[in-house]
Amino acid sequence: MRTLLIGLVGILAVGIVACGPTTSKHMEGSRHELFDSVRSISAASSNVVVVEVQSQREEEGPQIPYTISDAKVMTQFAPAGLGSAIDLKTPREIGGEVAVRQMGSKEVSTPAPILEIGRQYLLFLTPSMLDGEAAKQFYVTGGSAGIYSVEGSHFVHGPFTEGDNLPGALTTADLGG
Amino acid sequence: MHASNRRSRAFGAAVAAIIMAAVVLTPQAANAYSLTGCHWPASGGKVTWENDAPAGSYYNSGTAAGYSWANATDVNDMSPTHGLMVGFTDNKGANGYDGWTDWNCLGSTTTFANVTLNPYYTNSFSTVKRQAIWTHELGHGLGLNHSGSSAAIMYHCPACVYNTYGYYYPRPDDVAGMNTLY
Repeated sequence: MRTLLIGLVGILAVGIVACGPTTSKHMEGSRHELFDSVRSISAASSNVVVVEVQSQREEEGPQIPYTISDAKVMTQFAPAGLGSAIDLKTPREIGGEVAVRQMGSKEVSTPAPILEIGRQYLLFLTPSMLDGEAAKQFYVTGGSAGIYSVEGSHFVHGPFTEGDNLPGALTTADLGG
Repeated sequence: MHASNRRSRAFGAAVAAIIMAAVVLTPQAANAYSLTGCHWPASGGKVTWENDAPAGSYYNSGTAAGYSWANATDVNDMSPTHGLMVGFTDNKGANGYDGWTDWNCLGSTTTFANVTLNPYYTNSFSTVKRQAIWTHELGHGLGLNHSGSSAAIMYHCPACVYNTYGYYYPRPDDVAGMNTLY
């Protein structure tokens, strides 16, 4: 009887712990600028590409982790004004692959979604301007702003909540393609 | 006489309809703030934080930003001396963000928060423009999410708010949001 009671108390305790509040991780930020047109986000980007994400790895930081996605480049575009608002010492050429760096991870709720392996995206990219290995990596321009998912013959944006006012859908014609 | 009464009643009804329409259509000052769902278990609104930013403009603008919340809202203290909310600078390159805040939330209680400014962008900012970013990020750390008002310091782009209006401190919408939490 005593053993049964101890067992019941133990099960109850485990149940209470399991049903208690859990810790969640979050991140929000101050956008450096907001975009309201393809031209404005193109001006802040060095490259506009369609990619397919092949693999990912996480890099621990002192505060939040970063996710680096290795992606196969399928198409490159040169929309009007590309790179005109950024100061690059040398033009950034992208070959058959590109490493895309994003703040956060799948475990941290972030304003920009982390790219998913196996999916195709239209990305507006900016050189990371970091040193070392990360110097070869690119950030998505404006966090969530530069992410369009490929859906058939269209590129679809969001819905995101970072304050940009970009077109909800694009075609290759909108990108000078 | 009968027709005159009818005209009088119709006139009265029309005036009432116009007044009602005016009341309904007059823009009301709506709150645009939003909340993260997490905040500090502050007794009497007392919150402190630790400012680990470099001495000088970064430290001073962060400290001033903390006190601006304490002065404008029901948050009390905000001394930059110690606490589980910590402010840093960390150059993360062209990631598109002047600053960011990450926090852990247990249920609806914040258990720690890191408030970070990105010198890649903010090194070219004036001290008060840095204060705008600190104010915004500390607002996240205290429990506010982004505001839909482009004149609120909690708007998505506080540097844009500073550039457009010169604001670098909590605005009425930010104050209204914060006072629901503390």
